[in-house]
Amino acid sequence: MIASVRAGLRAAASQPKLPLLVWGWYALLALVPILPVFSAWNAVLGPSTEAQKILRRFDISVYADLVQDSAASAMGSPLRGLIAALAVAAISSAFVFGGTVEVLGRGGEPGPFLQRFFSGGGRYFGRFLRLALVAAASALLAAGAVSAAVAGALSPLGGSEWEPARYLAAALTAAAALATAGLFLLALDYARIQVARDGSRGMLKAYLGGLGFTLRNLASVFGVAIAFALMLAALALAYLAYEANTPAAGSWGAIAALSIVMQAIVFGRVFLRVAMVGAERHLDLARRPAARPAPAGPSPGPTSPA
Amino acid sequence: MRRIAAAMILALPGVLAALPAAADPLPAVSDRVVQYHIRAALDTASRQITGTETLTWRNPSAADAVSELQFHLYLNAFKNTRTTFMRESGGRMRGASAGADSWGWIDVTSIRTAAGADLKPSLAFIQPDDGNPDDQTVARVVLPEPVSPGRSVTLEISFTSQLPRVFARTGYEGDFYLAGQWFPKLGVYEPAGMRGRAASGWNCHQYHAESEFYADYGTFTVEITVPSNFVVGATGARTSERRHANGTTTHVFEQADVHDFAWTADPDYLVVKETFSAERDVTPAEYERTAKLLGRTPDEVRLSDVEITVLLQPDHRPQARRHIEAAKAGLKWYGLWYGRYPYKTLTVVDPAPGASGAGGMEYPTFITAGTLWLFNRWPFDRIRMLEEVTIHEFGHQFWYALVGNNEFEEAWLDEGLNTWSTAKAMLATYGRGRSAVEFLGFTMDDEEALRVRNSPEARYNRILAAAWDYTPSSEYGFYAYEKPALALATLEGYLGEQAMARLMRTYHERWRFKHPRSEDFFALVDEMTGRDWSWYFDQVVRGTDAVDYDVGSASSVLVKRGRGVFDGPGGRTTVSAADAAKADAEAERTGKGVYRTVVVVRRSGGVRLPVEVAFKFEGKPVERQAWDGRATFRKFVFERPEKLEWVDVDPDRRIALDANWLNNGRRLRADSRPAASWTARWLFVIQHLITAVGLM
Ligand SMILES: [Zn+2]
Repeated sequence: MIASVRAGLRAAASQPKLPLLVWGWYALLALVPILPVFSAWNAVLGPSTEAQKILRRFDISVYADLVQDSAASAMGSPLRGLIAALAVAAISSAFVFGGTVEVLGRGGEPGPFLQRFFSGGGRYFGRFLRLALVAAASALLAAGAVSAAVAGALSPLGGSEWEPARYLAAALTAAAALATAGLFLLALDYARIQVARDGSRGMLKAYLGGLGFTLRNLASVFGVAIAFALMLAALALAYLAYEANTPAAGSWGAIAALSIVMQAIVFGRVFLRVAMVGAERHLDLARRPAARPAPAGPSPGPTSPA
Repeated sequence: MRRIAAAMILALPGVLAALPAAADPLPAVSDRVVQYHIRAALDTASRQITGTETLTWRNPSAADAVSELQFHLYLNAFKNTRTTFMRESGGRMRGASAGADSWGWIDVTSIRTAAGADLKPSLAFIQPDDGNPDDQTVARVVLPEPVSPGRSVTLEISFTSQLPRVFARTGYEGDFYLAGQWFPKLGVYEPAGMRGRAASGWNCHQYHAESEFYADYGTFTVEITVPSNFVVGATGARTSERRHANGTTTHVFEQADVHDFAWTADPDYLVVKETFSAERDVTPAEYERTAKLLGRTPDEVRLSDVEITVLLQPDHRPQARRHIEAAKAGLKWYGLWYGRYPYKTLTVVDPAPGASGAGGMEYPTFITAGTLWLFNRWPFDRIRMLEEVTIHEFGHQFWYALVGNNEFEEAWLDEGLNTWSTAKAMLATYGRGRSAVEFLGFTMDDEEALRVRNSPEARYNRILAAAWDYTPSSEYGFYAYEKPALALATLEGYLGEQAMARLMRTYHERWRFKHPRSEDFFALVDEMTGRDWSWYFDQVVRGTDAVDYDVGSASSVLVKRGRGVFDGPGGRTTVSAADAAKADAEAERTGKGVYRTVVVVRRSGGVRLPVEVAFKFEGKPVERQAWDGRATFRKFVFERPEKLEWVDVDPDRRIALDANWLNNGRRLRADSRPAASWTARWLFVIQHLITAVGLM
């Protein structure tokens, strides 16, 4: 497991363009809902004397005024843009994963990076999208069932006189739901990795294969996932420490510094995810050494039938 | 005097500072209209309190013989789903919900005069507010003979109170009990003229979802019998304790000059006691500053010692100190500002988990706060919810317990005054900019929080309304708490800190142990300022409209050189277009020339308040002009050699009621930093959402 984590981190580090590209794509997507917000806010805050207050510290009453300001809210709802961006992100996740396994899988081979990424993304797009739908549906159903069962079993704790028991019950329920959803989503990872490696076509069967692998190697699979979750938590803590000590970004320099830190955090998050896929590939190779290698040659294209 | 000149209003602070301070001493005792002696026993199995009550009522009127008495039987609000309280609340209060099949009620099992006359046959439920026949929260009895003015009648009452599972103030949860509004309590007999009444009569409202209480001052002696392992806290001081052979203990509490009595019992309470010391907890400098502010001698503002008891949930042990400090902050600041707390005890109750509906409530000398285990430790230990609620409920000792306005009819008089006072006390104790929350770099203070719910659209209700008339009922919070607090802050903006402090002090002193109404407050403002403030209160307290001043437009441009033929003292000159253009270009380059500045300041809200408008020209100090704020706009035009940098309406933000401060000022050179700073953070949040989905 440790070897897989190491291998994953090495693989991601050897392909810095990969996380950079993914980060850039999602940053671009995030700009879709945020740019109209910036222009609406700037129209109200830019000429406002009151807005100068927030260069010193965040002021909730200024924020409330902004939210209620007709000029600011007339610029359209950022929510619609956000929902659209999230939908695009959800669909593109299948493409990004395909590109990622392709680049990681053929890291040593010659050829331009972008071509490899896009050919991988395109080749697996349809299959990975269907896989994701299967996984999302099963994750949702299973997490719902498990959390209902755990909440039911823990309901005496919820009425306990010992107050922390109430939090414990809520935390355990959430943890059980999260672990269940995590299991089904990790199975999705392995299913996709195996599809890329074996070239399978039946996605239901492929997903069951991923699920079977996950269950057979439960400790290692969760070990890898937890190792990356811990690294992500460390990243979040580092950010919180920075944020807690720089409550307001008042000058252009401070705004730039804050933005750089924030983008570094988002990049770090993308990097860890890429490394995690690398680690998962390594684990799959280690545990299924005899599996059929991926077919060489041109890709069948994204619209191939299941 | 509605057409008072804006300049005069704005000059008021100076005028007021010159006025001599009134010197009303604090009244020592109340009128003591009622005397209650209650003996109550709690049965933990049935969750019932059985009690007997010896009640003496003195007819406070000078002219009326009174032949009936009216009582509150509040627990009947929880009797079924058809009561006025349940219909209005839908069985939900402040996030807590009524438990299924856990009803509460109170039965008067016997009611007689001291002479033995049985009044039970005459007992009838009445519904003075809404005629709802299913509501039994008010009852009346007819006396065998009328009580003459100044004479008294004594009744012997037996009652059984079934407590509900607590969701709104009163009831039980596990072995936690909070008994509020639990005994037959007399309404207030108001002789003609009192609180502006035309005809004499009882003021005894039904129990509503959004309404609190009103009762007369008197003395209470209450004997509470509970299982001996229970810790008991109550209104007043514990004067004795008797253990019985059957495993129960009777706790006796007494208090004079209060208008209600509540108690709590729970075997699990952690008892934390500390004395508020008038000597150690207030510095000489604080006494001196207060005396100066109020125009009193240091002796007149001297406080007295108070025994604080915090009944804490054991899981909240790390928060004991915070409760004590908050209680002390309340005793100190309210005491200094409005007059010393006259009682010897203060009990702060921390309700059991699951009983949050009992929290955040005021009773004389006895308040309930409420906190969570989560707030025990960093980083949540500076989210000052428990301080806020403790100081607020303590504050009701001044605005509700000591100054006993009618909470049913004019909730703002206690909630509004108290919300304003709470914010001041929080800021004084925990600091501007951070008094309410300090959490991982995010900070908020109580004055900022007051403005959050105000908006230009908050213009359909009025502050001065019966508590159950705010529509929708969720508006009770804004119109009884925050808007009045903003109205008082705005009044302070006009009067200045010192005059406002003296006004509030005098209002408190004059109405301590009495029942004022809004008119009394308004009249005192007129009296102390020597001016008619009806233009203000009519719009802000009696009216509905919003306050919003803004800058409609602002420009400052170089005046172009004139072209054409000009007759001057030196004869006729002709300026050619080319020469003028050259001169204009030169002026553009150097910035030297005459600027024409046009500013339109607007009143977008319905409320008309006098305001100041500040102008900042380049290289010049800020200049201010007064505007009476009555027309929908005012245009200011300047032609001068300096360019305008910014203009600001109400530059000191004295009008806290203004629903939007972002549009008050206009900079001619926009600054993108505020929007960039906030957008950068939002971008970060959205990126996380998108990557969470996109990296699946
Ligand atoms: Zn209150």
